Amino acid sequence: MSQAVAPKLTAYGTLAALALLAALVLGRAELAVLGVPFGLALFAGLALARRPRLRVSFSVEHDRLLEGDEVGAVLELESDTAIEKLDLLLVLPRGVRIADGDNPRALRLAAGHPRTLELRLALTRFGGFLLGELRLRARDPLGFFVYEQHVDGDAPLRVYPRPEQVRSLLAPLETQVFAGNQVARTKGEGIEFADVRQFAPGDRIRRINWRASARRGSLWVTESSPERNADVILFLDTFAEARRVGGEGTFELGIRAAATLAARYLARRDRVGIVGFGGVVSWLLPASGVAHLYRIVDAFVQTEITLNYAWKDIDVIPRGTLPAKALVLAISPLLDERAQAALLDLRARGFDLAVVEVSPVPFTAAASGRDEQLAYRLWLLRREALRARFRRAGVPVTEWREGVPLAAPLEEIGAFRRSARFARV
Amino acid sequence: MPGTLGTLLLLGALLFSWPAPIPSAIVLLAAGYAASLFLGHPQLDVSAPLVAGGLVLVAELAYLALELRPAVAAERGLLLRRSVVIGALALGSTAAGGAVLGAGALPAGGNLAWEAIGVAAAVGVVAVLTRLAREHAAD
Repeated sequence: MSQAVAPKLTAYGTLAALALLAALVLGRAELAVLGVPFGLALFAGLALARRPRLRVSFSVEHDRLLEGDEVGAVLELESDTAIEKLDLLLVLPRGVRIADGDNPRALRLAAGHPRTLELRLALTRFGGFLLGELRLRARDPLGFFVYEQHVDGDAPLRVYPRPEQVRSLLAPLETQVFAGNQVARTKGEGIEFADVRQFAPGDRIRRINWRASARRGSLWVTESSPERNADVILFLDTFAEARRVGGEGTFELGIRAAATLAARYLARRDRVGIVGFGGVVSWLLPASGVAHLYRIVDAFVQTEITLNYAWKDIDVIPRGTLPAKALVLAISPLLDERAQAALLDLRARGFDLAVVEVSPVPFTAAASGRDEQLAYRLWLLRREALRARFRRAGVPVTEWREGVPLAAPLEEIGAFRRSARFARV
Repeated sequence: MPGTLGTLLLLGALLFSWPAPIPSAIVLLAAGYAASLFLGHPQLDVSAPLVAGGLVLVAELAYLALELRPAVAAERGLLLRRSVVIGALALGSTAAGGAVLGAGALPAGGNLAWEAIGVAAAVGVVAVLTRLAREHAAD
């Protein structure tokens, strides 16, 4: 621990010296007596003070949890020398708070007797954290010296976003060639009924639909649709966000939605890739499986909004990240022009695109005053015009607000796509 | 007058959580006592050790009050132990002050032996303090 002299040490030394000097100058023994306590305290303080050698270890019960969970943490302290007063502060990152226990706290540590402190931590936000950062301050029995130590965190904890409510997923317009749970629009080998047609040479006998053949007087066969998987790209806009002071914002909602969708699409054997499009561009190539789900969620919990003024378009995204025939599901507050331009560019390149707009409106402060109200209304109108622009391009955009199940915007997008004949591409 | 100024200064230091004026406040309080010595006590004042104990108690409590800010949840007994240490220091100081006062009341009478003992004691105190200070500087 680093040592620093408290102002009290200098003060007591000065007071003792002044008293003795005054006694000598003024010739009064009583004044020397006034300096005795300060000199005595100084003597005792210097004799008793020992620099502590502290060993600290911090651990958490689990290293992977969900948002909203609580986790137990154990802090073990041991010192070679007795510490009369040890002030202890566990530095907690945003998203972790104390559920049970005192922080900061002051305690006494006897020499050679380890102390174990137990805490309960509430995890209020997803993220990757390194817990255990401690600030320690010890004092000698008379408070003449201050010893400080900073301990870096070494207990990793990953908090995954809590899942949103989703009933059914958005079906892509086209499927891929691999087997999956998605009924393809094309006909082929499968078990889902597609159509009946007249028998042709080469058709298998077991494909003959005997009931239809008997009714029509000639051989008819059943056609089926194959079960295929789809490629889904989750396009997360990380350019800008709207946030309440000290609270949540559009970014947190977007991450939760993206993580939920990734888990659900992967559960039905689709391939899922992600593109974090913002100040820092990040991506994961489409793949499937549980391991890939962990990769995706780990990538999400490390994603942050990074302020950047450089113009970016979709050319910065590696080519294989956006495979042909993939469904691109964008989750964006539509606050940044670069993200808007990139999405329209994707649509222009023929991608099957849908946008879940994480509405920034609930996170904006109520307008006060005539000018502010006017500006607020203009901003809302501009957002409505932007949505209309996307819809004109054949891109379904639905507003998703905090507190509304994610199922609602997905259903709305599904309805838009079912009536896509009205769209002009 | 210096006593009143010292009290006000101490109150200000506590109010604004600023430890720098505490020594000045103690000096002013001591100056008030010194002035009273010259005005009303031509003989040796036997209550000086009590005043000294009181002054160190005031200083210790003032520093403790500042040390406890901002409030931190302290485990039971921590403050009590510190209070006992401060009380013991005040009592010990009063006793030591009494011993010094007693030594001061002894008739010196220009005896060379007394002078030598005094000088040796002063040098010894300085030597011990210097050694202790060196040990802490080397830590």
